[in-house]
Amino acid sequence: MADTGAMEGPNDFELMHQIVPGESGRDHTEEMAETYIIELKRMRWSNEAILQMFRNSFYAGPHQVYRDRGEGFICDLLERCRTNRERRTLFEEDSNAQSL
Amino acid sequence: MPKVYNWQLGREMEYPYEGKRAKRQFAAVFNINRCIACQTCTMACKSTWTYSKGQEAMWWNNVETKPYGGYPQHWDVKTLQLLGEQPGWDAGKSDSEKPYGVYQGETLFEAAKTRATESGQQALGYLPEEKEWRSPNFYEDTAHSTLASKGGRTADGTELPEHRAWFFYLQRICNHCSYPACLAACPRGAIYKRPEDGIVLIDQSQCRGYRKCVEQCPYKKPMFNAETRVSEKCIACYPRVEGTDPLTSGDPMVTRCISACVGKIRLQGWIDDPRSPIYHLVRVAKVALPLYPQFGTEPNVYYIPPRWVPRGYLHQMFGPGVDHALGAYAKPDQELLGVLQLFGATQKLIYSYKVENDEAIGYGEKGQEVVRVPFEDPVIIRSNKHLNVT
Repeated sequence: MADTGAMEGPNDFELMHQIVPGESGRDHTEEMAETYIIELKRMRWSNEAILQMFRNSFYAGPHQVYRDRGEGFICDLLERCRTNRERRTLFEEDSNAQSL
Repeated sequence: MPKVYNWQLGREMEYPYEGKRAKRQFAAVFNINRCIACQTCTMACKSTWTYSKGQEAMWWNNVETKPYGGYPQHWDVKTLQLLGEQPGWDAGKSDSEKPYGVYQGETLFEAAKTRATESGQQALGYLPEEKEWRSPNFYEDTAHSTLASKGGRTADGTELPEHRAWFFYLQRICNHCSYPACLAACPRGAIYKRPEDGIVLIDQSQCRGYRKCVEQCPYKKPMFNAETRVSEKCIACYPRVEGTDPLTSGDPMVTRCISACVGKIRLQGWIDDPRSPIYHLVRVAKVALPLYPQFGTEPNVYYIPPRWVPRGYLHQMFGPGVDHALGAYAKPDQELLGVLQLFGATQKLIYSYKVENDEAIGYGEKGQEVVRVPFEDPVIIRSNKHLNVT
């Protein structure tokens, strides 16, 4: 039987693709990307590590920003979003992992 | 009706019972900016407390996607509609005792009295329908910025929605309010607030299942158990708070939902002890805010608001302290940065803290050190032959 798309009765679970109004004059996408960057910087991620996450399609939210706005936009944000305690990230080889 | 002082409203308000503060008040801060809605907290709670017959749809802890999600469905919108449009806060009158200014509108207790409801409610409320409790996160991640076509489908056909618009996750447990609406509502006097820690409990032997607490708690955290025919609610894992869990040899522990949090977004402590990190976040740095303070129950779970959400929405949800909170969180000073390091750092309950020499140190009930977190700890990257985060 052809799928007419009609439901047999009201489906309370069906609420898809609703408009979520933003605020005029504000770029919520940029603010969201800023939040990702600042939270990760506070966790001592390096700029390079954060950029790699934006490039990775596994991380849908950050990668959507990367696709929409481009790598230059992310790099600018990485430079602009400085926490008040920029730290040097230490990279260490995990010796336990090697033996797994 | 007696008058009690509600510091979140900056004024006295009417409440059915005389105001009597607990010796110290259970409180928690949740950082919304870091939550990924993995629901580990939800499952930790479920597997500890609500795994029995009759508790299938009972989620004392849940994480919901705002603005559309909710458990029960639309709980906050329905209560806001009942309360109606209110004048809001006079922020010009703020000081240390009234950090958000003075609330000019009606609380749910005052509204119940002035509107003389036929049901004789102590706090304005409604009883959700059974179907509204079906999911701990209705409409998860369905926010979208394009118009829906008929039937809720887009021209893209089967393509799943992508998150192009703002939304955020709200973590919810019982607020263990200073002026609980559930307690005010109970005709049996079965709900009480423990004097030693302010945790709100339902005496199961006194409850007769009238569901007045379910009806009048604005946060909808008491729930009816159809099997036992009485109501139940989050108990703030009080055996852990009392230190009776053998794991820590008598040291008080944080709740299951807080200790299980993968993102380390939660911190537990005491709202009225100036030595507590919670006090610093809420009363000193003012980065953490109560949920719908206008309801008037003085809730004791506080939230660091999300940075990317329209301010109007945040003002409605967290009151007038939003702008200050977001500013302070964006540029934390040394002490705030130290307190933020303590989130999720230990299962033991932190009573006091110190930030010195680029370290945050948490102390337990007897003043013993329970955790020490350096500001600068090494980041360890596994070699390329393993799956890495990036």
